Amino acid sequence: MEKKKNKKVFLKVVIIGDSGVGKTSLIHRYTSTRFLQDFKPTIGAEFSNKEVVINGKTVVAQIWDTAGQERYQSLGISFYRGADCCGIVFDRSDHSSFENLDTWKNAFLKHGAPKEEGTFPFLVIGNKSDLDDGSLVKERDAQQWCADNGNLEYIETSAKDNTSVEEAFTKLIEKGMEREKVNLVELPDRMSQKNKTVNLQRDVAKDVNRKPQKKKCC
Amino acid sequence: MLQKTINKENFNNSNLPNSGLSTTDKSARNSGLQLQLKQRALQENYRKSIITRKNYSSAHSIDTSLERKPTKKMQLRSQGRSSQIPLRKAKSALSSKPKREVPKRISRMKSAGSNDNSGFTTNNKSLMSQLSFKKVKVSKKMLRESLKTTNQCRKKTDKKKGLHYHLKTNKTALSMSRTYIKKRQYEKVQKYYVSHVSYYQGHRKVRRGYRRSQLHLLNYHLNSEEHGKKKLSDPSPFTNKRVVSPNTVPKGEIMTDSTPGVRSKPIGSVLNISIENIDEESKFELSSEQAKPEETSEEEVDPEGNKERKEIKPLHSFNSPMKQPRNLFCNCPMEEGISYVCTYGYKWIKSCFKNYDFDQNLEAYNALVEISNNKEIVDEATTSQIQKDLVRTFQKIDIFVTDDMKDKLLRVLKALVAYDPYSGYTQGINFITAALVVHCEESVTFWLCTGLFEKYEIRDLYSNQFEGMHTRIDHFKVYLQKYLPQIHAKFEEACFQPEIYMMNWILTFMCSYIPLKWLTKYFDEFFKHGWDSFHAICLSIHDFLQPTILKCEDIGEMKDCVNKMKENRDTITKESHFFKKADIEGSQEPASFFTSTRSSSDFTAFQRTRDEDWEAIFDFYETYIERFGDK
Repeated sequence: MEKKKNKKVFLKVVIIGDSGVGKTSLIHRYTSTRFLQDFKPTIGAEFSNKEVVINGKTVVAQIWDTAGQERYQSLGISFYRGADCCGIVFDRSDHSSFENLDTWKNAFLKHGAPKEEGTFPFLVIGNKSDLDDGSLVKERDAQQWCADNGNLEYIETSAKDNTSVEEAFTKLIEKGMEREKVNLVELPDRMSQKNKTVNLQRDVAKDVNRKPQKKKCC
Repeated sequence: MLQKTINKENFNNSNLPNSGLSTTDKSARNSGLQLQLKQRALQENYRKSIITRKNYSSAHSIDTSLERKPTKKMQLRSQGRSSQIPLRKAKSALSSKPKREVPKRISRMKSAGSNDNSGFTTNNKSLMSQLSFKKVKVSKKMLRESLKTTNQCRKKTDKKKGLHYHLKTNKTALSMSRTYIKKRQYEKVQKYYVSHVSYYQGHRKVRRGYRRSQLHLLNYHLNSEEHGKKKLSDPSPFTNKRVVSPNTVPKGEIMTDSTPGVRSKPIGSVLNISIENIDEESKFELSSEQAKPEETSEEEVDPEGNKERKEIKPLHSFNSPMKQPRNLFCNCPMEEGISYVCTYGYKWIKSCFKNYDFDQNLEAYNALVEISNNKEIVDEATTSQIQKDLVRTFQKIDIFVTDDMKDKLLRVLKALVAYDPYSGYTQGINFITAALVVHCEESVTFWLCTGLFEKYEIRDLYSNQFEGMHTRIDHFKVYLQKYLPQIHAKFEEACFQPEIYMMNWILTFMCSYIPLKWLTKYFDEFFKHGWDSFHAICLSIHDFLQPTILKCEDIGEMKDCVNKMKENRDTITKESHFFKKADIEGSQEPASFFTSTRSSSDFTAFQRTRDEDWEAIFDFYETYIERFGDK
């Protein structure tokens, strides 16, 4: 039993995107297989765990749901750290949210500070595909954007109709696992869980640099 | 002791709102840090109050000016300041007429039809133009300087925070003995706390200045006939009209500072300019809300516009206040002769403002709504954000589903943004307004919100990268450690940080957690006890859930457990059972999900258990409030 437990892989998945594009709905659809009827703006951030078996490995994905309002980005920064993969969501019926993809990606790379900037696993998710009235963001445009930004993968989903939500998250997790293989050694259950807990502190990275100063004060 | 007494005097002189200090001090007392903390805070404040009396511009610049060596810019700045001081003195000598003390904005607005004010304005008219002339020149330098210094100041406070936070995350620290860490943490919290008390003091002043400038803006708009049209063609109506006097300063320069595209810049410029004029102009603001706005404004705002202004009439005449029919949703009893609020609302508004005049404040609110329609003041992005959020606010309660209610809330929220664009709109405020609008009329909701924001410091939660929120969470952690050590230990063991859910609790001010029925009681208590009651309710929820929390195994379970009561709230579908059904025109049928999947018997049973839960929580709450009061 213990051996099995040790094989668990913990992944931190962060979902970002504009306000009201359906981040919470997507995550809710995936983790609890229901469509959230009572919409509420996410304030601060929330997370939910989901255990899945992918390629014979048990993966515990800690999926972080962040707030979309621009103002909350300063809070969100602390959640980006230590992410293994990142999903950027946009609303296909809202073109401005598609145009904001750039800023979201850059903000993540800047504040999340992953080791490999160029190859960090992103997945672009176009949500609300069910609202088909002809004015949706076209797949070609989205693919074009992805190609221009380091050959990212793109997927179209609908949290309402449950089209390829599962698929999207599986892809995300697989990508995260690939990255994990390269970078990290598997840790025992307890340790790895500890490492995966989230630091909500402000400017943790800066504090590390300030170590010597701090000693003086004390 | 000496310092204390001096300090008190200083406070009275500088006439600052020290409510911030008192509330935070109170909570400090509870957590048992009292003596040390108080003394330190007092020392800090003493140091500041001395300096602030010299320099009104910005509190942040003061902070650093002590520790830095004078640079070129600093010298420039001090020169500018020295040019102000004699003028100010001269002015105070001139205004030998008896000054009335008007401590609060509302009472200021209420003091209608005063004669001595108009006399005052004519006497000092020429002086005024001189004053503002010199000041604008200074302010441009000072703006740049103070923006820099604020950043530096922020970094400094961050450093202080960093110390305390770093200790927690530091791996070597974790390997130390647990008790030692706790002790250290406690000390750090104390230090951090002290730094914040003074920080708030400074920050508050800046905002206060800005609020005054807002009233000016209001006055300007009240008196300009062509709303909207004029403003759109004129990129910066307020900076241009109000501060720049006819014979001064190339207008272009100021306007480049406040191009409408960049949001933060114009706010900064308006902010700084207005702060300098506080002393001189606060007198004039007295007249801004008075019965005869045309008379005073002629002399005050801009001599150029005199010809236009004479013909201008105020938006609504104050003699015939518009009385609206009652539009409340609660079943609470009503106060006699007042149709704007129920008894609860009346109590709340009384605790925020001493003399609240419903009719006049309705006028002021209407004017603000008018202003908020200007796209320069409330930009489209904000409006669309608010609209997005209103579709997601309490949508399981039928009174909030109607378009009418959404429009109402939109107006209130936009007016709030127009009232204080420096802070703007943040998600979470929508829940607070929605919770209040049940008991109050639209305009009262607005003013009640401003009261909450200013007197009870809710605005601080959202501003400045959520500084206030982090402070409150830290306070709560101290409380949690003290009153519920078991839960605290459990969280520590699992490395679970209460921030994750506390952020939501604080930023929505518990409005999205507590059911609507119980929110009434919660607000009632909050207006009585202030932030103590917030911490007490948080603690009592934890206390209520303690047995289940202690059983949890991992972080996810803990989080779900703490949010359990909230989910209870979410699953309830007919909250308005306790409230009247919305009977406004144009009300829509609630969405299909609204008619619940639960059967009615299920529903009532569920409701009963939920009410029992919340009764138990409020029982806990009372014991906590008592315990807070003891110490």
